[in-house]
Amino acid sequence: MVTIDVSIEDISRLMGLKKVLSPEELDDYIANTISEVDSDPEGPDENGHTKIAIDVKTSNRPDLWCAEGIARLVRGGIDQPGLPPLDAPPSGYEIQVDAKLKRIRPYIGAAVIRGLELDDFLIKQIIQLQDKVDFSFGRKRKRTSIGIYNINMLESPIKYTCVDRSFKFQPLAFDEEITVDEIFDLHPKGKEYRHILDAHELVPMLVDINNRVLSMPPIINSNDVGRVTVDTTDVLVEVTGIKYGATIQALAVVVQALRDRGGKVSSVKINYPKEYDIKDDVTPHSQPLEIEVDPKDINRYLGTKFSHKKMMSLIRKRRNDVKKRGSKLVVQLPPWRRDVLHWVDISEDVAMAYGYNNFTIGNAKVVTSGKIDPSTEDENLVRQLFTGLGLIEVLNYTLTNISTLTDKVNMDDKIVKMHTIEISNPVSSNFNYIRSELLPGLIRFASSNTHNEYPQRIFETGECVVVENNEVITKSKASVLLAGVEETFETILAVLDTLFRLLRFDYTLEEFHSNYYLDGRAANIIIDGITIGQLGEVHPQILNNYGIEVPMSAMELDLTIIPDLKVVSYNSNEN
Amino acid sequence: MAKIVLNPVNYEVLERIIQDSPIDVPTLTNNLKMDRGRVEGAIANLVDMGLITREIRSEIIHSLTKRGKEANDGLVERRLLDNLLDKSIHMKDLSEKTGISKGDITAGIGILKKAGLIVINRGNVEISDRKKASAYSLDLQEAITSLFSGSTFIEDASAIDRLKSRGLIEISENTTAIVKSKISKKEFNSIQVKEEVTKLTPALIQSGWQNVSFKPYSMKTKPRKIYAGRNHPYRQFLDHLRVKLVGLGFEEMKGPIVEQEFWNFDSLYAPQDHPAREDTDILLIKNPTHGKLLNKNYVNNVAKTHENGWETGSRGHGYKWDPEKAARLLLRPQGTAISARTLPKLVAPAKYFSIARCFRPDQIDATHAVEFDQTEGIICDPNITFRDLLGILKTFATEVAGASEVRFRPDFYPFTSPSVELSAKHPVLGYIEFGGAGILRPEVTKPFGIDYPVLAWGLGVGRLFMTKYEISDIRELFSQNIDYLRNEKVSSGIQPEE
Repeated sequence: MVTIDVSIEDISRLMGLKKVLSPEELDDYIANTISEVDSDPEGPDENGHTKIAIDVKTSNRPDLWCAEGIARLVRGGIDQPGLPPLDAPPSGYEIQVDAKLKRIRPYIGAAVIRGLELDDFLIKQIIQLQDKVDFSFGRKRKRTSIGIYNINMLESPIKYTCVDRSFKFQPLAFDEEITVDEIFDLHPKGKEYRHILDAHELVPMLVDINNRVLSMPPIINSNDVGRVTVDTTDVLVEVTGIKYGATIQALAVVVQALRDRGGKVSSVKINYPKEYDIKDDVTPHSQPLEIEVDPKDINRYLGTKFSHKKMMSLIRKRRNDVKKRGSKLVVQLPPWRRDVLHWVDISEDVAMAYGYNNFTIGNAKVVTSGKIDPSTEDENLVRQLFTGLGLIEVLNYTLTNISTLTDKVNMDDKIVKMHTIEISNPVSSNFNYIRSELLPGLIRFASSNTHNEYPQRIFETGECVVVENNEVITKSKASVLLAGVEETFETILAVLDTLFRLLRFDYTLEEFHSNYYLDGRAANIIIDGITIGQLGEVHPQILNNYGIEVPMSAMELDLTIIPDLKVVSYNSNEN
Repeated sequence: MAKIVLNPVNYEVLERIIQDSPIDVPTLTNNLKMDRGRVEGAIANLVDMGLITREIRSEIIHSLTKRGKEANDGLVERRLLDNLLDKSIHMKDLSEKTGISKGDITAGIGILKKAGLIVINRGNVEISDRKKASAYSLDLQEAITSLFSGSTFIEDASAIDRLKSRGLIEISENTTAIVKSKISKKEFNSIQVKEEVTKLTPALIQSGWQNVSFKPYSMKTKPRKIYAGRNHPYRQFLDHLRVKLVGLGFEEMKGPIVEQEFWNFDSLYAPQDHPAREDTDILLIKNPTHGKLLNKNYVNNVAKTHENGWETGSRGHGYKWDPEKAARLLLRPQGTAISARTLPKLVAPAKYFSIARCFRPDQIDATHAVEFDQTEGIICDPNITFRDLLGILKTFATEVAGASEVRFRPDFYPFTSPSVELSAKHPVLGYIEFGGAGILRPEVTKPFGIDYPVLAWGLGVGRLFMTKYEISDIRELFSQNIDYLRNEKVSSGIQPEE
């Protein structure tokens, strides 16, 4: 999802409407652009712009990340069906690409746009689009990045070349020329994006025939040519990237937005060296992309009976052209529609153009019998017995921290860490481990309730994650904690015994030494020779750690290894 | 009047009341030579049975305070006047000549000056109005004497007011209960006496219960609280949701919460450089960092589909697919990973659901938690269409959310096309965004050998829970307060009450 700020007055004008939409009307208009209004309006400001935020839910269509693109698609359904204008006569400008860039940042596309009338608002809108495309589509400039320059300061041919790091120029917002290395170390943008180029001795540089620096893609523009102001009318837009298709697509997105603002677009010739596997290019592309679709497939997929004519009209409403080829349709897409990978994408265009709410709702019944997973069923059986025993069910987070799992419960953190998963990029140090057992969480719960009436008899069943032989296993466990002056080894054993008596599980106990429990009052619980859990009287040191003043007895069972229980574990490496 | 049965104590008390009616309770108790508590208990029973009345009489009691008792020897103003009646005395000699303490002399002089009975002439205190002075405060003195000698009430209201304001007396209220019989001697004679017991015992059941009466319980007494063994409200809600989905014909799926990126992303056709796969959007684990990809054809098919579309009819994403990246482990950020795991075993027709714990590195606040549950699933049938998807979503809205109307809106998921957002008009909440769905892309299904449409859906049920249980902060779901769990309401189903 990409969130953009637009002006309601501006986007209403771009949609060709005579009135200014209300926020609710705007929300309806933009539904088919896979967007929704996300904020209350603010304004209008002194320039007559009422600001409102729009969430564009598709991450695949950068052309919709601006007011121009949204309005363009909306007009397809109102007064401008079919392909938007794509023509771009030659500008006379050329870009020469250096062969050494093939391993650094190989591709470039550019366009010249003249006759712009910019104001502060428009400049902000352009910068917003540039930022969103660089960040999200451009993968934080790694995949593609956009540069915009004052063309009247430049002379063709422009060289897309490489320089070493001692090369000096004056970057945006700096008063003097500094070297590339200094930019990496000192300039905010240098520090932010240097990782993209760090692996390379040489760095990309755009310079014109007079060696005037445009920019160091994808890091920073130069301070003069690379500064666009309200006085700028004619610009060069370029996109560099590591993928050809994405580079062309990002360029098409920006160029079309400027064209919608009244700019006259002309093309730039890109001369790739012979070492490249692509020939010379002329950008932006004026040729539409094409995909052949079978209307029968689309009708079957959607459950519709659209005639060819109807379907073609719907396809055009999405700013595409379409022609017949035998029983098939050839859809012509604008160059920014590289999100279309399959005919199902055209079916989505057709469905949206028709209007989701206009479909007759289907009533196919997929007749199947429902079923609760046996694992859930048996876990629920245990839960049911526990509540029958008067225990209250607790729900703790799956995420926890190492202190709760170790020092708070007397456990050695080396041992616990061997089978417990640590999160490498946690949001908070309170949630940086996945619980490998439930009891520590129940004890912590009890420590939050020392002011409440005793006895407190609680249980939890739920998912834990353990590492066994380097395999990561999700297990369902069950734990019971009894807290109160009367609670002993005997009272927790009575809970276990009742549970297993009703489930008809034969178990034995075996003395067990652990820091969790008092010696002589702790046991392993064994069924068919398998240790399926432990129980005992909670060690007084743990009670001291938490400031708990009543005795507690507790147990923990691994439900997934009890032979007669259908609760299973899930290994991340299996299916 | 129905036949009256009394226990021996009640009978004895009633008998005495009838004899002396009306009588105050202390006297009654005294006459009965019985413990006061038992008498009061019997009286309460007899009142409840309508055999006697019990009225409260109250009387006002005047009594002397400590200072009031001291004034029985003479009010200070009276003593001063008595000394001054025949001669004037200089201020500085007053205490010595009258034997009154200096503090009291100041107060007494104040009272007498205010009353206009004395003048002070160059330090000499002399009486100005002998006639008035001889009678001054005699009424107060008289009242004090009367109270001192045992009287408990003074008729003279003006004297009482003044004594009270000077803190010499206290006024209190004394209440006495008076009981009075409501039945005649004749009626009394027909009363049957039976032993009263509080408990029906095994011995009594065997024999004797006919000859005793059972102490009635008050209908107003609150019993002690029982903290019932019970399920957590949220888990119970999920249990109800599960039952609802099973009722709609869905089968439950489960899966690991630490998941391979393959099932969470690659199998769902999210390209490996997709922003949602960056470290800032998912939670990764330290050790082991990677799992092992399965040695299955579908893994290769997924790889080729990403690279060039394989046999899916797609252009593909056009990059070199990295098995290492696909094997990386993460905390499951979406339940759809479980649906993906089901694809290799899918046999049409089928309907599946999962209720999956999911994890995302969101900043924690009232509406965002790092952990949350997603309800999602898939539906497959060779003949199903996009129109049917809309129909199924409407069924969800009606059956799960209790909605009357639905609205659809285009949505986006990397793994579906078309994708749709469902809004449901809920009787309590109005229109809510209730779900998202779509038809799985062929790039997702074909690598698993599935050649027909598979619908994927997800429902936002958290809002229903929070409304049903009137919770505004998502963190309350994981409440650490046992009293909340002991006392939170229980409720059936999943829909908030209207």
